[in-house]
Amino acid sequence: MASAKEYAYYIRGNQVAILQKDTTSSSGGLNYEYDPSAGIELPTSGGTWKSPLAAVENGLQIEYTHEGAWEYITKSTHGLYDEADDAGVLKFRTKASHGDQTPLYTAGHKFLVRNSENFSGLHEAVSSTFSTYTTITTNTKVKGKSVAGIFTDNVYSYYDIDVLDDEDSIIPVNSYQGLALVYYIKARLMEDTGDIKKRDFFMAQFHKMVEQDNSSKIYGARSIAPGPNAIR
Amino acid sequence: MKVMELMERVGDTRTGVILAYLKDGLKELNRISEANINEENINLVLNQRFYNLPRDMVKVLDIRVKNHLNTKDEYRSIPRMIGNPFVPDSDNT
Repeated sequence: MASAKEYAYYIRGNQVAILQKDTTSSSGGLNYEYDPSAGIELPTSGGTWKSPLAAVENGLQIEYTHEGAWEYITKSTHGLYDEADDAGVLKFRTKASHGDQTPLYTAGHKFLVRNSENFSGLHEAVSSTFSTYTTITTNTKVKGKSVAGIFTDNVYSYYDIDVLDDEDSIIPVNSYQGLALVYYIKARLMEDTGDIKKRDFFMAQFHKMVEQDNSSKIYGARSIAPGPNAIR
Repeated sequence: MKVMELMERVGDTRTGVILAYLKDGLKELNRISEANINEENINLVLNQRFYNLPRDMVKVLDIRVKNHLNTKDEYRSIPRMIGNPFVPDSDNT
């Protein structure tokens, strides 16, 4: 059985900092350490927050709203590893045990990588080759040369996704939210023409419809009960 | 709803412009509401403090860690710190 731990986070730019409480006791149970030569210092253990004290596979789970510019259809069963060639082009490769995956990654095919710390997101395949394992070359540029094989099996791709890229694409929201988006686009088009009055009107309609959509998902009566100290 | 239907309602035939504004609209929708939700699992690495947030993220809804205040391998929400801890990260990356 795993042991209980205590974590906390804070945000730094586009990163999340994960901290773990070091619960090993400090000498004497004091909240300071004393060294005759160095004097009094803050404790290095005993309740201090530090970077994670142990590796945990899939330990961090982030729930978030995403751009919504694609819809997931089929999730792959193969893990991905990353590597980069000297030209700084990102490549992925699947495990040898998964066999030939080239039919899934033809030129121009878009796929979505998930659970990768650095390369999660939409990528487009330029080509894919199979020799022992499938190597997928993307048109994603990477800075420098990364180390191949740093991903683990929990990194996978949605190789079959519906990307919002033409008139036949389905907008991945419900119909009411779709109507709200009509107002949003009208507002942006009015902004382009410099008609700020109409822009403000359409934007207000957009916000109103989004609010109504949120409100419509909460059913039942809404009432505020008087508190225990209310005058009766 | 298809993009085509939306274009007819808007009354504009410029596909590229409409798609660009539609993507902006979806971002705004997901910022003020919660239409498209996803979960991402990332490995916690020993002594690594900073982890990149997903590139397509618009709004963080929850941050959970396995075995936080439990021994059942459950993911539980972790609190946000006010301020930074006084123990710095070894490499700050």
